[in-house]
Amino acid sequence: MKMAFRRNKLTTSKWQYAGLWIFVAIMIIYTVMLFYPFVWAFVCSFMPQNEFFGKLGQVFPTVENFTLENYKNALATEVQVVDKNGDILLFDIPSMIGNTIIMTVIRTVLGTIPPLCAAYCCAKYKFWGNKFFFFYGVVFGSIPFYGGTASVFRLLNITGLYNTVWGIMFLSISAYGGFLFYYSFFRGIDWTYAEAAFIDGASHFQVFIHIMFPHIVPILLVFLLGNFFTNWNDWMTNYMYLPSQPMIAYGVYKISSLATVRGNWSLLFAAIFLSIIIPLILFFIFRKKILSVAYTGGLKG
Amino acid sequence: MKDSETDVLYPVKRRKKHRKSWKEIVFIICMMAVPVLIGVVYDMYIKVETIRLMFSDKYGTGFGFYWIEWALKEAVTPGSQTFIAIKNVFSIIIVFNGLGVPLQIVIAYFFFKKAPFTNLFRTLFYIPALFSPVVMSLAFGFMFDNTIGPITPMLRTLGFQIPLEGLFFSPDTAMPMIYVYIFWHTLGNSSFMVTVAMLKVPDSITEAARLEGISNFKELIYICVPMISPVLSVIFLTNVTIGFSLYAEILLLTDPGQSHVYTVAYLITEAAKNGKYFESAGRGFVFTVLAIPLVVLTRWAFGKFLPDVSY
Repeated sequence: MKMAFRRNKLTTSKWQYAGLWIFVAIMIIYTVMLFYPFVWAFVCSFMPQNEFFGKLGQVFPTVENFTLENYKNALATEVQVVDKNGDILLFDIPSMIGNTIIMTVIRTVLGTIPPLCAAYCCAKYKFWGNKFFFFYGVVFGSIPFYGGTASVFRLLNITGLYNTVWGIMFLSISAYGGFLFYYSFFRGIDWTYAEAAFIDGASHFQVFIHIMFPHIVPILLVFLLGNFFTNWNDWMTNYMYLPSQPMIAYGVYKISSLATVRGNWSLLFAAIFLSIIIPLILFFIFRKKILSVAYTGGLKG
Repeated sequence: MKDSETDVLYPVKRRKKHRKSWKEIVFIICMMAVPVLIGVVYDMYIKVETIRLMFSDKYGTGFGFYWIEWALKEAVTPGSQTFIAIKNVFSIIIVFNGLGVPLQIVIAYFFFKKAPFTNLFRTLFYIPALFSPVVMSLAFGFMFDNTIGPITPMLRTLGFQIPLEGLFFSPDTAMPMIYVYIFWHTLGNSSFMVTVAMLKVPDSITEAARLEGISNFKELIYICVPMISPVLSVIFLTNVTIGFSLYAEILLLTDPGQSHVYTVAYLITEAAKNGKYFESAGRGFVFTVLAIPLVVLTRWAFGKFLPDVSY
């Protein structure tokens, strides 16, 4: 959806015109503040360690001896974790990125497909429990309930799923993530398409896969992309339930602890930038689609 | 009279009930099995189990109120972790709803009014949302680090009293710094959410107001704000939720043991992670009892003062 920013001009008098440009100036200052830490860290990531320590506290540091050594070291830095059996495992950044790609793809699919299937069934079929499922999610989802983390931990420990890939996959399965959005989307699709297909002998699965699913693909791709970013950046689940298989977000957290102790800041800056390359590339490829859903998706005004 | 004649004269309404074929039943079962197992069965299990943990005796062997009493006692003891967490919930709600939302509305209004470079700002403000909380908090933390950060020496030069242990580690400044951090990385992005809601206000309404000679300020207060009340309601409720769920920021930016910055999510999760299930659930009970009226009150207040609109 293209955002209609071209309307309702504010500038009808000189004062309003001035006010508008003051606002723009404030926004530029805010933008500089927003990106300054990244620019500062990016510049420092190309400094040798000794040069960085010579420029501590500088607001605009400049690189005198440009080096890529920090990036090489960051790629080779290994994070140490202990697995379920007490064995020590080592992970470097490429292997953590590999872990992240695999886990993010699996978790994104597990978090997106079940609610899609449920939404389709609830929207298009009448069956016992249809309304119960719908209202259970809506009602219980809106009532705050705290303390459930204890039960999740307990369950994972009892079943032996704590600190296993299966455990984190189990926790990734969602029933209601995006359910209402998919539900309203499927409600809007005319059922006569399906009836025509049934007359031609199509099964329910064929109708879903070949007729209904293509309708939702464009918007689903954007949802998948959004979930992909969420899972890529999700370090909490990794930290809490799977500390033995670090993904990149959690890996950077572990590297930050190491770097702080060793005082190797430039290496940490390099690790940070290595961790954000893939999300940035994806963002610039799918920028328009991501922004259109991010700012129009679930909000009704 | 024959039966067929009766039927013609007085047609019997036979309701054709759609009987499901076994294929349809199999299809529904296949599609709904996982969502029902996870969304209802698993969710119910977790809730029931948590309630069981909440209402346990000291050793978790039977029914009792030990952990609830313990958590309630903590909640009313000044200086205790639960007490601080509850205090922080209210301060977060007040700061974010009292300061953050009005700021978002004002910024959103300027973008709504076609401020220059709006599309550029929209793209730039979204970029922080692509980065993990680890990256964001580290980047922000560097700036105020006592050893390497450029901001702390600058503030000292300007005459500000900076605690020796650092802004994130002093009990007096740690929580305000968390607010600054959250404003820093969410203000721009969240303002655009409000802008989009404003853009959905029908042109006819704003144009009619313009013809009546309404000022920009009045347009914002009397037209835009009431018309986007559903979105504002969501934002207010989200801020209430943030008050309870703030965790990553606390863990990444501060040392709760040193700075005494405790939040609901931090206390519950850390206790659970360390195997203190009953303690975690007991605190959960107190926080749930606190959260439900807060959410209901927020909804009621919105319904009362800014009723829902549809257009």
